[in-house]
Amino acid sequence: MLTVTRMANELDDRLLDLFSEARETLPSAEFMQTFLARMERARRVQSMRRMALIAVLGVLAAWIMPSVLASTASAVQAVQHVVVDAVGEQSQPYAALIISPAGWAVSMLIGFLVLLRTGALRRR
Amino acid sequence: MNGDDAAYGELVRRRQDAIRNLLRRLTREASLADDLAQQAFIQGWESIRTLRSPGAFGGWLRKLAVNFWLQHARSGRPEVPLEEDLRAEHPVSTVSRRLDLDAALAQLPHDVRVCIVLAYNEGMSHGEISQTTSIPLGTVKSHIARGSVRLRELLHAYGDTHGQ
Repeated sequence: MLTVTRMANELDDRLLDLFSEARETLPSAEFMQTFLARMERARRVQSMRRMALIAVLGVLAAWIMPSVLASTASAVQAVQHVVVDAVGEQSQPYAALIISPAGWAVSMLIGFLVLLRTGALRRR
Repeated sequence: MNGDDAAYGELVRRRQDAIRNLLRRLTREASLADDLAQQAFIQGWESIRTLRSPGAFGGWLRKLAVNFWLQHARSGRPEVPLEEDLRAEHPVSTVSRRLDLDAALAQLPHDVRVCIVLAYNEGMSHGEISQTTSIPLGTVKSHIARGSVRLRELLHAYGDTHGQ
């Protein structure tokens, strides 16, 4: 036989009955109408807030962008100078090697191996 | 209204009765209860993306509603007097008993009242009440024990007054 024992939360039976009796079925039509109107209003406010945020971000971007671009351009220019100078210094001995007859021969060989590897020389 | 809003509207339609009943026990004022319920549903609509599990929707919504009521109650706004005219129209009836219950609940401090209502009206365990209200578990237990005794005393007093 199934027995129901009350475990941790001891509650008063009389009060349970009273709360159960007090529960009513409430008409929903008016409540839902008001809720849907409030949701529509909240949605309008939300989208206006979003548009205002986008506008503020746009203004901020337009205001900051020229100085950001200028500083980026000068930084890139500085880095470019450093890189070009370094590459120029480092590549001088290699440049002499590449334009020598041995350099040409090695370049041709490498090119041939690449063509062979990719199958470009294969007959169709 | 887009599809998401229509779906949320349907969820509200299904849950509104439970949330409004809960808030009516807490506030004793139908219009205030409905207003708080509306606020809870709107808050739910705005922050539904933060809900991790769809199965937790009911509990999450109940927590929002309770928090709105606690905010309102702690703001110190006075509570409405008992609807004596309505009581007079229904001397010994369900409505009268409901009014007695609501009047007795209104005599309890806010924290005690919310614990009692969540336990008796919603059937929540002590642990769930503690999680929902952020009141420590031990305090929830003592609120329910002492609140039940006080509520019985108050209802006995109302019963005597109204010939129940």
